[in-house]
Amino acid sequence: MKMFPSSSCWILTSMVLVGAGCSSDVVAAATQQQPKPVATGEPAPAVPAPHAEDSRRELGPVVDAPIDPYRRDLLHLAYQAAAALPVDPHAKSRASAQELVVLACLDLEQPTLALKFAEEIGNWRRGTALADCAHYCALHGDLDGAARHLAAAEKIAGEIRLDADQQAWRYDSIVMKLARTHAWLGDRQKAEQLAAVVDQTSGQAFDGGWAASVASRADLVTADTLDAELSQLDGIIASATSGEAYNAVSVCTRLFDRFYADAEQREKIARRVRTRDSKLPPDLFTSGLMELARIAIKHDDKAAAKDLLAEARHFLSVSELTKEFRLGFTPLMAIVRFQAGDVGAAQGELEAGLEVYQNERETYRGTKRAKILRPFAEAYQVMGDTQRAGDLYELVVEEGMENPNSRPRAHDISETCLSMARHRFAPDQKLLARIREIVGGLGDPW
Amino acid sequence: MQLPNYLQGTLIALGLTGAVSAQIVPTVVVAADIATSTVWGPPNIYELDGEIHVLDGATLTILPGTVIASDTTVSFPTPGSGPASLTIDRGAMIVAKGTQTNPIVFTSKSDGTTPATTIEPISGAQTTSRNLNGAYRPAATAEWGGVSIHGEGYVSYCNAGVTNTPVPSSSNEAPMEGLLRPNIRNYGGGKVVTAFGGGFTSDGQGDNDDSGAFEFVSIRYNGFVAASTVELNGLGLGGVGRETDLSHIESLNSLDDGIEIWGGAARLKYVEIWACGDDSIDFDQGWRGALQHGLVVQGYTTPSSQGSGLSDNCFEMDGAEQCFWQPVSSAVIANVTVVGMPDAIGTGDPVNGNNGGDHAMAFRDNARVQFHRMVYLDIGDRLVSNDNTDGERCNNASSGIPGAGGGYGCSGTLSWAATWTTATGTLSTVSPFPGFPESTPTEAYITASNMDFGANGKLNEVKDSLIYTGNSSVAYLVEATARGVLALPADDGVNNNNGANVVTGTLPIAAISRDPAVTIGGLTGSPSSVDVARVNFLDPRPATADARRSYEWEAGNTFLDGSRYRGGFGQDRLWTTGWTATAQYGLIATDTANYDLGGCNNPGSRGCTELSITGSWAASTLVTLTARNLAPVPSVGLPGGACVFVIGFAPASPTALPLFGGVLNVLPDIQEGAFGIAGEATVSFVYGRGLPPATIFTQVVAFDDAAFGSPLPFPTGASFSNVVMSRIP
Repeated sequence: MKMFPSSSCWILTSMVLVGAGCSSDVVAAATQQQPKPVATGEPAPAVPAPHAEDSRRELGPVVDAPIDPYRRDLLHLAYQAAAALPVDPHAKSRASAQELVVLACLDLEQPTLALKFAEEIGNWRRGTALADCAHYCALHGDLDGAARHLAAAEKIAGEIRLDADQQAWRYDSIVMKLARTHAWLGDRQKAEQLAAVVDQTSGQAFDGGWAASVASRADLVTADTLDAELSQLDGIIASATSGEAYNAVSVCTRLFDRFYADAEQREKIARRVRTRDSKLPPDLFTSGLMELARIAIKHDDKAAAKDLLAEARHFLSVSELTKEFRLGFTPLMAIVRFQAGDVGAAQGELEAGLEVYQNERETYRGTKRAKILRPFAEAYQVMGDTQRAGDLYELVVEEGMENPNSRPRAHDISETCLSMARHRFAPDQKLLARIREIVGGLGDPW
Repeated sequence: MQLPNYLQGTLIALGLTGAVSAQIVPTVVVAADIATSTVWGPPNIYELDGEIHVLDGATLTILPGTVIASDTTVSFPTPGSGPASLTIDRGAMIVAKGTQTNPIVFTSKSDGTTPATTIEPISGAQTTSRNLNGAYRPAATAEWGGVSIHGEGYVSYCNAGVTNTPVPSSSNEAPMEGLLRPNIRNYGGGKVVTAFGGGFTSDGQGDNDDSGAFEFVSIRYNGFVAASTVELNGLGLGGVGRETDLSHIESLNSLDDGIEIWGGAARLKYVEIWACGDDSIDFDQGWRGALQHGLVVQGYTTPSSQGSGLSDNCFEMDGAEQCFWQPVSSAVIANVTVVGMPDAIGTGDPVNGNNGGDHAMAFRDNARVQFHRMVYLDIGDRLVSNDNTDGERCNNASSGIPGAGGGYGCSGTLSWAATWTTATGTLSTVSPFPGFPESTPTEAYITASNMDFGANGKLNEVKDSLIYTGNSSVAYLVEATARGVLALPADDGVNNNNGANVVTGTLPIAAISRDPAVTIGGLTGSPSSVDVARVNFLDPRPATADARRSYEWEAGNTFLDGSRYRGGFGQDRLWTTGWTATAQYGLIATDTANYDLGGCNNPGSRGCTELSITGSWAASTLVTLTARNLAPVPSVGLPGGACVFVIGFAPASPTALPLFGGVLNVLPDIQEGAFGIAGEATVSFVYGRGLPPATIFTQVVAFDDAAFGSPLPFPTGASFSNVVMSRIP
């Protein structure tokens, strides 16, 4: 599920909170043009310094960053697959798939391509996609672009609000992203005005758009206001529904990153996540721990990362969860273990997970197999074993073809292309040809 | 004959191509699961010959006018294995989008069918469909199974000893009741998936999951009860997410519930439940959704006990399978007209203990539901009932409380009484999770959807509703009174912040008539017989001032529109026309000249502007257009309001109407403006220009200084009404 989004490193694989796919080069590429770090995948300032005024200076229009041609090709292929979904009857599925490509483009610093794709989305998700484009522009000093996309997205939100067939959470998904950007640009009043009218059920849904907006509040916290913020988060976590708890944990992990240098503050923040295991949903709790571990690694604190990882593993081992659920965390935990220096153990963990997958494959829903397997390929790529990653990507591609219908096939091949692009995996000619064959062959039955 | 591709495929798959002739289109027998995406469409009739599943990854598209007629004699998966039914598995989709005049009908093979030509009013296209023209068969039920849709929304179901946890988890899932195929979690290889919920690796969907669209669908004469809690309902929604489009759904003569919802966040508009044999609308396992615009009419089909042919509760609401599991059901229901079935109507014996239908609203296991702008009449038993629990328990180690009791107050959750006085967001001080030392109590009872109509909202509430006392039992208002339902502050006449209910002895709807009461004896339990009478005609339009106008309206941005009346219908508006069985059978008032398409947005300072049209558009016939609930426009000195009736042809789709951001091709000679008097404006004329037969659309643009402006694509101060589609004969 979409949690902890950031413009530079937001992995959209299933239920992935941890920046599993944020290999160092992905992060490095993503931060090349950042005027200031804002996301958990970026270097934290030594001293918390949210929202320096000069971060909002006009730097001119954003441009697409240099990128390996094959990655750009993969983005195009992903979009081609998404756009192949027919509007009738799959307008919603099509738009959803298109939006994922837009987000990937932004993650890979391709804002003009993202905008091109965003403007082709045919339903309310064009609004959320444009809002993401606006946020990217704001973060990168393209204030004119941000204003333009904010206005466009806000107009779509207004139209949705007028449409009796629409639902409020769609409107809310847009305006909360708008609020996030307005807050970033310093217009808190506008942000609060937008946030004030949202349907509370949207906020209480497990909705990534809302979480993204709420999470931005972490960027506004200073050392002086941290205790007050934590007290407020305690209230949210203690009193709120699970949806709000997601948002609160999101804020906590961001704060954990920003205040990592201060051990006392760091531990104080981490407790908000670590001591709520019985109350937080299992996926949120596990993901939260792993996000903390990843942040610890980023700050070169491998011992702390291993402790957090052990805590997550213990939780998974003693909790009653479906086997798919457990397996979904295997590659993510392997990456953290790898980044903490346990290379052999990480590989062993992956292979053991793959054995489980092979043994139980027939019991997994057909349309979920590629989604379960894809993070394993990503993990090997992050760990530098491109050969093994390639083998697994081939398997992922074919698993995505198991279902006879093009709707799930289109989703799977599109997401596989995005995965490869994000993780700097260059498919060989044979695999690339197979991908093109699949994309070109999408059609009836949908 | 050249068959459409989809039909060819289907017939070939079924080995029926030899039966196709140039003149006769056979019934398409569907005797296998649907693994590849398929389109069903008229003029064919489709017969479900078993428990048919649309499998993970496949999409079933059903075109307007399609009839699916089935029975209980099936061959798939094995002969005699259960009634015919259709299930949309988790990961599959259904796109069933009928229209106001050309619905999709799921019914029995015993229902009369004849070929018919339908003119699609939106596009003007002419289609040959198999419309149903049989007469109403009031005793008919359980002639086939039902329809189930599964999604990946969160569900609080305790699968004892398996994997579910008491907190929301994408690992939690539940089985759909009433389905007989056993492989609940046997996912692979094109097998059925009778589980729902979970959302594991669901692309970030979860409660936002999309199972497709189900619109303008009539489900008739269905039902199946294999055993207690093994029942097929008219429509079952399991873990269905809010991206699924659900509107204009009818259930008629279902043996069990009309609609039952388990978990998820599905939201529904325009729902009619007529004479179901159990609960009209039932939900459990943490449904966090909303329903607006509805009609519930209790009745009976077979001479059986409540739940097996005799209507039980109008709304039966369970929080979760175990009271403290999460998410707990927390929903908002607004603008529903609820017609119960008291014992011995017309015999002057409403208090003999035989209650006919049961309660209007039965609450169980920590359910939290807010009812607003409702109309209740002829309720057999109580308006509000604390049923406490359905008796289901979680004997699951992960609950920390093996075999713990259920009901309100269970394991430290709020008491029944407290849920009616506790503001949304207020916490308990008692931990419901003693098995977890680090836990806090709050997840047990805080609603997952605090759609609380402002700061005064309570976890459970009935507000701004009309409660008719005629034909009621002595127990009718007892619990409601105890819960303060009748003691809410009075309306101040100005602000949208009051919710006083109105108790009245005046019938609030235009008309209701019933068959003579009959005695149904031999019932299980006590009483062993009831005297009940079916509704044989209903005009649900509001007939009193209290019904025509509510104190409050939904002014915020929610799923609910800003309709400002009580009950399911606005004045002179009948959204049931054109697509329901009840309209077809003459059980409900209809207006085939003017179809209310609903909608209402940018409601301004007084809620939605309402448009109604009466009269025919035939030459030399008086047509009256009325706009109601106009706001004062003090900026131009018009205290009674002002509006423009915009009438014209719409392009090919209703989404092109101004309401939906499109353009209406205005008929210049009949565009009318009007000043209102006391918030109401009327224009009457004889439209004799002699246009050829056509479909036109009308919408009111009302001036309202308080209507929000930017970023709307309309001038500041414009509020838009519902749309009415009319036919020029």
